Amino acid sequence: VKCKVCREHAVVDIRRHNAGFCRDHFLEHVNNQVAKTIKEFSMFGPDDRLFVAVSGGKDSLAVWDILIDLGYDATGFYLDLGIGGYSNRSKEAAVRYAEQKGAKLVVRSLAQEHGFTVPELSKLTGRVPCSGCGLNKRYEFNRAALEEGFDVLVTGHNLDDEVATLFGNVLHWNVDMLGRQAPVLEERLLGDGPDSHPVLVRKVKPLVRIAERETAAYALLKGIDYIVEECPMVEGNTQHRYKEAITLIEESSPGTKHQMYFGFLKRAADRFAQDSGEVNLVACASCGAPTVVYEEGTEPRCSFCKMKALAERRKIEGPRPPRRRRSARSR
Amino acid sequence: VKVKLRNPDRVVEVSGPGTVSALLEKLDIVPEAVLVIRDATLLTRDERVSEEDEIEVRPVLSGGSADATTPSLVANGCYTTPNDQRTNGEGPRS
Repeated sequence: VKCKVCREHAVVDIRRHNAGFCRDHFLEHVNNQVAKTIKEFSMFGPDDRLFVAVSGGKDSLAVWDILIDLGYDATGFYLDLGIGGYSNRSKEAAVRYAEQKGAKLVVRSLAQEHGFTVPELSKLTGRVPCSGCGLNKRYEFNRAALEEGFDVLVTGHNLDDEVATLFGNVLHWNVDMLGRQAPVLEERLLGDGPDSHPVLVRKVKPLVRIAERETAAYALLKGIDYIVEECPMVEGNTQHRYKEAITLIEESSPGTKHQMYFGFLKRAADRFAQDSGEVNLVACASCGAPTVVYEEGTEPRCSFCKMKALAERRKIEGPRPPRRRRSARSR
Repeated sequence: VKVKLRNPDRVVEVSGPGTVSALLEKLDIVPEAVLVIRDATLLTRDERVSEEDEIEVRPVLSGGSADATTPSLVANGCYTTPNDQRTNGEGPRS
C-alpha cells in the first residue's frame, strides 16, 4: 500500500476511505478530519477554554493532543476512580503525557470528593460497576468543568463508540436516548434573569469522524504512551460486545460504521429529538445539579445524590449481596 | 514469527513467513480490531513478515464505561429518569 498523498510507503490503510497513508500524512489526515468536525458542528471557537476528560487511554489522550496541536486552549481533567492498580497506571499515563507536552492537567479523586471508589460503590449499591462509573463520570466531569470555569467539556468518544451506542439504543428502541445522541450537547441554564447560571456545561465529541483503530494508530505514531490494558471491571461489557459485532460487519463492508452514524445524524436524529422534546429542569435539593421531577410534590433529588445516599446508608447498615442482573440497556 | 498479544500480555509463536493478513487469519483475529506493530511502527495488511520478526498485535476496541456522556435523560450530570424513580436509583435497569 502506498500513501495516497506522497506515494511513499504507507503505514496505515483506511479501507472505508480506500486510502493508505504514510506516518506524516496520516497524522495530517486525522488533524484535518477533527478540524472539519469542530467546524461542521460548530463545537467551539479559538477563544473557548476547553476541559478535556482524559482517562490515560488512547482516545482521550489523542483528542487532547490534536486540540493542543490545532492551537486550542485545552486543559486535561483526570478523575481517579479508585479501581486499584489500573487507576494508578492510567493516572500515570495522563500525568506523564501532560508533563511531556507541557499541558495543564487537573486531577481529582472520587474517594477524596465523595468518600467512595467505583468498586466500593458497586458493592454497596449492587449496581453494575460500569453503570455507577458512568454516572460518577458524568456528574464529576460536569461539576469540575463548571467549578473550574471552563466553557466546553471535550471527550474522546470516537466513531466506534458512537456507533455502538446507537446500535444499542436501536436494539432496545431507547427513543429518548436516540433523541439526545449528538456530537454536541448545548449548555443548559437554571434560574431566571440575573439568577440564571449554567448547570450543564456544553459537551462535544470531536473524534466522531475517527474510527477507534485510527485513534489507536494516531496515538502510537505520535509516540503517546497510553494505557493499553483494559479496565478490569469492563469484561463482557455490553458496549464491547456491540463493538465486536459491528467490527465484523465493517470488516466485510468497509464504511458501514460511518454510514450508520452519519446517516442517523442526517436523516433520523431530528425525528427522535422532536419526539422526546425539551425536559424541564429543576435543581437537586441536595447539590443543586439539574434534575427532573416526575412526581408532583416530591423533592427533586438527582441520580448521583440518590446513589450516594444509598451508598452511605449501606455503609452503616452493611451492603446487601449484589443482585445478578444484567443491564441490557446501553448508554 | 514471535507475536505479542495483549490483555493479558502473552507471546505466541506463529509459523511464518507470510503477509500480515495471513498471520492474523492463523490467529483468528479480525484485522479491523487490531493494530499490527513492528519496531514501533505500523504494518498494513499486505506487508510481509519474516520468520525472525517480532511483532505485536494490539487490540483497539475498548469497552469503556456505560459511556460517560451519552446524551440520555441521565447523561448530563444527573437527570432522573422514571426508571430511577421507580427503583430509587438502586440498580441497573433492563
